[in-house]
Amino acid sequence: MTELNDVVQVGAVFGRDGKKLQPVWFAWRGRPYRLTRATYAWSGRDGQARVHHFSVLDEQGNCYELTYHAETMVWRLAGVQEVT
Amino acid sequence: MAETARSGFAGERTAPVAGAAGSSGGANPSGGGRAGPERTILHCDMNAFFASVEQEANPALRGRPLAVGGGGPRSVVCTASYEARAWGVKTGMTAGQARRQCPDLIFVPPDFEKYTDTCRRLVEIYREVTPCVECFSVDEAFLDATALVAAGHVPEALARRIKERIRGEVGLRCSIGIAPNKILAKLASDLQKPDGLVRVRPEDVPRIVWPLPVNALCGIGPRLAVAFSRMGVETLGQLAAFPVGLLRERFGIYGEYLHEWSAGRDRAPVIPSEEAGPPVSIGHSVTLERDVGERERQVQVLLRLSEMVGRRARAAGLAGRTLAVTFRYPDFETFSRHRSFGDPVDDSSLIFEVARSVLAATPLRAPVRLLGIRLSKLEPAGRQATLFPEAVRRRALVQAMDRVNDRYGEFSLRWGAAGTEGVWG
Repeated sequence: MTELNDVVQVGAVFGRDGKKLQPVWFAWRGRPYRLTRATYAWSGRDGQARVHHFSVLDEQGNCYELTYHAETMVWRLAGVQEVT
Repeated sequence: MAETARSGFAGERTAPVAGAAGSSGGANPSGGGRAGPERTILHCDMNAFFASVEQEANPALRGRPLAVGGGGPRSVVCTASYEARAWGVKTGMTAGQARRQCPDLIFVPPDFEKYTDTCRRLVEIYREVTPCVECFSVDEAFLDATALVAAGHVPEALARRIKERIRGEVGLRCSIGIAPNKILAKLASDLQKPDGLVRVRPEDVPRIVWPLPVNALCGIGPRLAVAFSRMGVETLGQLAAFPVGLLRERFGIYGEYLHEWSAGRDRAPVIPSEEAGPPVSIGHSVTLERDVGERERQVQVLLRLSEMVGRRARAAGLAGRTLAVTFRYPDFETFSRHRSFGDPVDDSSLIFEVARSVLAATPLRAPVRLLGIRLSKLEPAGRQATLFPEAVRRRALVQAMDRVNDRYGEFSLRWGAAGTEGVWG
């Protein structure tokens, strides 16, 4: 996976299918990415703040890691794994 | 023997599983001969945990040979996926060795936050079954299901329920061993991987456990296995039959424990993690990116290690009376030097001063590959109040630094200006 740390715009749904938070789309470098599903979610910390991580797939099967910083409420694209 | 179950999972009967056999006679394993209800202990062991988590998170990695590790020349394999294991890749192999075994091996750097959070979710699942959960490691746990079984639950049904929940919640597989004690439960989970479910009853020990090699027992590593081999002991059955007096002479009280365990006896309770006592020691070590001979660079590494150890000690409310500094050469010769403090210490800068003095007093025959620091003889911190103004000011400064690092992340504020770039592995 290519590591990044780019701030991105994200559309997310709270409370769908029993999940607290699920990204649905994001926009990166001017291009929209529609997400088909989240494969994994986990939480970590940045100091006292919680950071929520999501592994998600787009319609082409590429895998991305999105992070949501609960204190700053900023979404970042942390990594990209393109299908080869 | 089939038993009608009152399982709460739609009345399952006890299903025959590997190891559930009739009496073999003659053996006296299980609870050490003590009267009382037999315990039911489950050992849950996640299969290829780190690698499985990475494959679950990234579907492109599924079905491919994967090693979790740095991939660099100094890195070792933390965990290998089952696909990589089929090529002979094993935990602890260097990256170079692993690549020679499997040229198509994919390396993924470890993400310990991901694994720790997954472990937390697993523990929540275990606690749905019983509050008596002991985390043995990030990917293993013991559950005491004795009360549930006494109430009519079927152990195998409980284990299947746990496996289904784990598969549904995090998409991972585990092997579960069921036995009357922890040692046997852990042996049982090892017998079928991946995705196993094995029950070992006391009467199964001679047939299932005793043929196993001695290093199948938790607590017997490669060195001890060699020592036993020299004594003519290759299997757990031979160990169980070995005179306990001779084992005690050779290995002390540990020899007695090994004898008991090889016979399938173990009285150790499952201790819920929140009831576990304080750690025996707190330490950190690092394999450096390159072998370091420059004293100044070694000092920088010790400074960082001292900060890490001090932070953890203070966070735990502990202070230590003994410091060990560990050195490892490129040929893997490893040794430690110890120093004792007059008063217990949790201050990173004091830890560092002693570590630096140990380094200065230790002639090194070669650059070092690894450095480590360990604080031991721990006791609750703050037992000895100080009236010296300098010590009081220092304490306040350390506490202020800890608050900043708690708020903004580790090493936001630290002692010393020099970093560890280029040497910290």
